Amino acid sequence: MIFALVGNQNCGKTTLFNQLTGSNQHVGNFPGVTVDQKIGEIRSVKNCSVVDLPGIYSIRPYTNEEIITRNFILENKPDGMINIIDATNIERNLYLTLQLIEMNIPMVLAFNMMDEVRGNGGTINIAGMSQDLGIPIVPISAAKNEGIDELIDKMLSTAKNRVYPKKVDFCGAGPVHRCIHAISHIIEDHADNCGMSSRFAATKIIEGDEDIISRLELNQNELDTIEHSVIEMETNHDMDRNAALADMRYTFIERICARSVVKCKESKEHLRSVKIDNILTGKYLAIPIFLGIMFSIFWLTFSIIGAYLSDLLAMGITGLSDLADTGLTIYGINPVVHGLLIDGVFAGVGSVLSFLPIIVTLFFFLSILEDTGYMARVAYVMDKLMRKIGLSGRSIVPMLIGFGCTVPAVMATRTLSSERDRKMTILLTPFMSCSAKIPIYALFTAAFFTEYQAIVMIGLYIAGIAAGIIAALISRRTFLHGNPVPFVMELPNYRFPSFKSVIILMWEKARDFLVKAFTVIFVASVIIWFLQTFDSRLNVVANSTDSLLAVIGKFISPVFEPLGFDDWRVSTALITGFTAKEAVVSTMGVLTGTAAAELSTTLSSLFTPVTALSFLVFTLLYTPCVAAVAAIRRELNSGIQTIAVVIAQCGIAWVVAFLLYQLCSLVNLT
Amino acid sequence: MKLLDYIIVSMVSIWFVAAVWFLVRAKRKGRSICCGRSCGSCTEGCEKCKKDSEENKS
Repeated sequence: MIFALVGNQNCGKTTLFNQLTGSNQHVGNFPGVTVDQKIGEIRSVKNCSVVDLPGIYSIRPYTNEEIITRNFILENKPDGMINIIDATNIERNLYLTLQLIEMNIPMVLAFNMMDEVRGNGGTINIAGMSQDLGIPIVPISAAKNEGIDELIDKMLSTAKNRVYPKKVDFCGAGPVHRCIHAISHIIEDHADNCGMSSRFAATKIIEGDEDIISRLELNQNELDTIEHSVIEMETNHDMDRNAALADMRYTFIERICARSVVKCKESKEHLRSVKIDNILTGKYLAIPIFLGIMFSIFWLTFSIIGAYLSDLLAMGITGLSDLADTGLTIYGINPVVHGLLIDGVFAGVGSVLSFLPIIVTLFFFLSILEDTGYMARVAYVMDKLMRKIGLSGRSIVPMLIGFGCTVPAVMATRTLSSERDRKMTILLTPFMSCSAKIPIYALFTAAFFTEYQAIVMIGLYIAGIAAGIIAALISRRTFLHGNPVPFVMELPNYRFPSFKSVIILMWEKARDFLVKAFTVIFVASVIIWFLQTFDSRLNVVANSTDSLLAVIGKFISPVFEPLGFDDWRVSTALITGFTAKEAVVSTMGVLTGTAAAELSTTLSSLFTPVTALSFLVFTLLYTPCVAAVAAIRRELNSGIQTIAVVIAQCGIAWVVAFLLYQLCSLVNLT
Repeated sequence: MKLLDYIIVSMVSIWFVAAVWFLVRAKRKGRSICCGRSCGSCTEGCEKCKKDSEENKS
């Protein structure tokens, strides 16, 4: 059996999903984290799955999330639905519930956060509300694992026994009632053919849902009759059709809540959140505080905690490499095999592995920020600034995700309702420096800007954002005209970060990094080692400048001569960065034959501080990795547009690095 | 070449082949190595998710 898990954003769907399935899907404390469906098996129940769908406020398809959820229910026809609602905000959540009931699928309503309702002095007459709505209701607290077993039992019995929602007429008497029932009669047979509830179809037709109208295959006569009914309703009710339907639903909701809900006092959590927001989102303090927090995170990560742990790990890896080197030399290993292991595997994979502590430390702080609810405030605070470049604050969510990885960031653009906003955000997101570039930045800043490491790091991130802003302004005036859509977002209450969530996220990041190091980076390192050890006749070369790789590298390196780094090894490293950005570091390690802890020192022979800065800027701005390009291709649904994005980014990177290098050369900086 | 040479070359080769196979298999399943294996960030139409969905439908 398969169940759909549906509800508003931030009502606890993914928390409930994790409780039902025992999995560890990422729960973000800001809306828009789940952008696609996720499936999991319900633990201790055989052959039963639950699908976590993106949060929606209405079945009316205004955003991609609503379309994904609606289409899943209509096309996959789940055996049952679990509608989870936030019981502390019951009226708004029940709006979606009424629409789900109209779909006439076996359904259970889960009142979540009941612990907060009780804690704040509220009560809900569950039995009374269940009778009014015609569906079973189970009170739960997903975060505290309360009521989950009862919910599972109720879900299974409802689905197995095909218990459909009781026929409850929400409309009352009046023009809306007459209109809905008239249309239901007209389309009944069409709806049956499509396997759709006629009432659900009728309300969708009134809302002007083109997709539903086309599925029903109505003839012109029927469409004209329906339109006449709707116009009559609008005239008699003195409201436009959408407002009339919303009014009908909210009137019903108010009536049943008045009977069954004793409202809780404003919760302590909400009052606390309001007080904190007065400071953190204040007119003059919001942005300085945000910059201060990000600076502190970067400083702690790149100059203190992360840097210290990274140096320790690098020393350990280098020690291990030296031990292996000495042992193999004493043993009298074949020089080529020696080179494969020490200059290929150890130098390549080891140079990247040493940055694991920095990645983990950065995500530790970012996950705390996210879990407390502050990230949602960032989106609100940035809205005004984003509008100046033609985007809404909603676009900041994918961009913030892009600081971790461009792939989920590009996918998160599905939360944007406007196609124009979506395309512009996809264009900008790769400029947000992803975590894969951190090893490159950390290596070069440690080598050339030791005293100002944190400042240079922040400078690079700000430069990426600035480049994105400029790209947005240009695209707004050229091929992406128009204004951003209005931005409405729910601000979740602040909460103490969950230790479990933070540890889970840190572990996931560490695991993903290690998997990448031992797969992509390892493969790239071995290939690079091979290409730099042998010539075109597969003879071992004495000098790597005679190798296959040097032939390829020297062909490409003139492109980078105006940028100040024309050594063939550097240009080769940049090319391998297309597979994974960390490969730039591992390739440098392999090509210079240097262990992790000494790589910074070796770079001084290839770069000066100015050329290092030029290289960093190029790395910051040029095309993302192949996985990110594939994600962009998928979301834009156009190969040509994707190629254009890649070429544009490489071009921008080249121009900016060129200008920087030439400017510094002009003022005689070295 | 000595015995250890062959052992090292064999181990690196096996690791190489296993890594490539892992990457190809992940790609076919629609998963992105870049950002992890959770279906929330996997490519649309993750094959494992689709298969689970088909198997659990009544």
